[in-house]
Amino acid sequence: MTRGEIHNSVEALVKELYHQEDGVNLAENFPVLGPDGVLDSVLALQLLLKIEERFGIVVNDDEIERENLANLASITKFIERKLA
Amino acid sequence: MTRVPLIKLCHRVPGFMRLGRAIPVHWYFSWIKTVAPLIGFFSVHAREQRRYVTLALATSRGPGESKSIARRNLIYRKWRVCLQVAWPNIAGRYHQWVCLQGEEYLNQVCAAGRGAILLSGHSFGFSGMAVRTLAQRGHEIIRTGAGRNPERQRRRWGNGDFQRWQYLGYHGDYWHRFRVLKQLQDALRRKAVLYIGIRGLPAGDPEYEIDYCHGRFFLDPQILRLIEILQVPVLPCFVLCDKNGRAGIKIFPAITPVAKEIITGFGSLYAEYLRNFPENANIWKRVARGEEI
Repeated sequence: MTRGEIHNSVEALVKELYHQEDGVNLAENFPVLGPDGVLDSVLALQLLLKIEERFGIVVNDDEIERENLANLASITKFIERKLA
Repeated sequence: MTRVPLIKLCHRVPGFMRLGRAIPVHWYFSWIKTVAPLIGFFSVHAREQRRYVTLALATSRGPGESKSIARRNLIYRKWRVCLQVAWPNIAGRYHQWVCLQGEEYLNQVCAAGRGAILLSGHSFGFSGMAVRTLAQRGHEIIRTGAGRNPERQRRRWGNGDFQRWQYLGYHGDYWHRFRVLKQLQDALRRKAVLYIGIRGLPAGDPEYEIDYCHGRFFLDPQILRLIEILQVPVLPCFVLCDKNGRAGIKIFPAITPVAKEIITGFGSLYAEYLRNFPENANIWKRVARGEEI
């Protein structure tokens, strides 16, 4: 799976939870998770479960940190690393 | 009201532990029933607690009944702490102290290959006993809370092979809360049982309101949303004490993890418990002040 495909999938999942319309593109540094993010911790869990299901990966709780999951770009990189 | 030196002496000091084990439950309970109301006359804190109960119940109960509930509430508060302090010493023969009903519902859900959520009211009844007893009976139990000092909880209750339960505090920053939620989800995958005491709010979405006898009462929508995401069956669970001081844990049949079903199934039960056993609630200070419960 290419980085672009991962990005598009994650973007679609975020839009679904954030109730964002399909036509709008989210920027690479769009704050998804964290204190400044658009999703609260409960929705963050829902996003993580969807990511695990969509990409067939398991995220450990010690991997839940700002560096891995703060915005679209970091989430994409993180998934890419997990898939490698 | 939370200090119990006599019980601590019997159950924490090695020389006295044998004595603590030997004293029958109803003796302890009789002692507490005698002492707690007396403390109510002398302790400023206990007097405050009594005032909150009568204030909160002023519109729904008569003055005599409110006074009686306030007195029983003092006994409840004292006994709740006593049972928890005594637990490490009595865990080996817990069946003398605890009566468990409805475990078959929990076993059915766990046998179906999923974890379960035990749902109770926040600060209602002797919820700590449900966690300890089920852990003693071999279930892996996780209890969550916004406790200010989870490390202390862990030190106090998280050690020892008879305590197969874990306290996960979701205080702290966003990432900590997120990690705790993930740990809960991982535990449910291992068929663990998650114990949640749902908060009540004085204001909120009418969809989440339950029938309540002391003003308006809304179940915490965050918890309901979390339950819907976790997608494991929910079993209402309430723990009250009988006239001899034994904790009666009652687990009810499973409810589908959908907010509407929980409000109908669990909400009506919780309201009924609050109406019939108001002395077993530790929420009256917040009710009287109109704060979240």
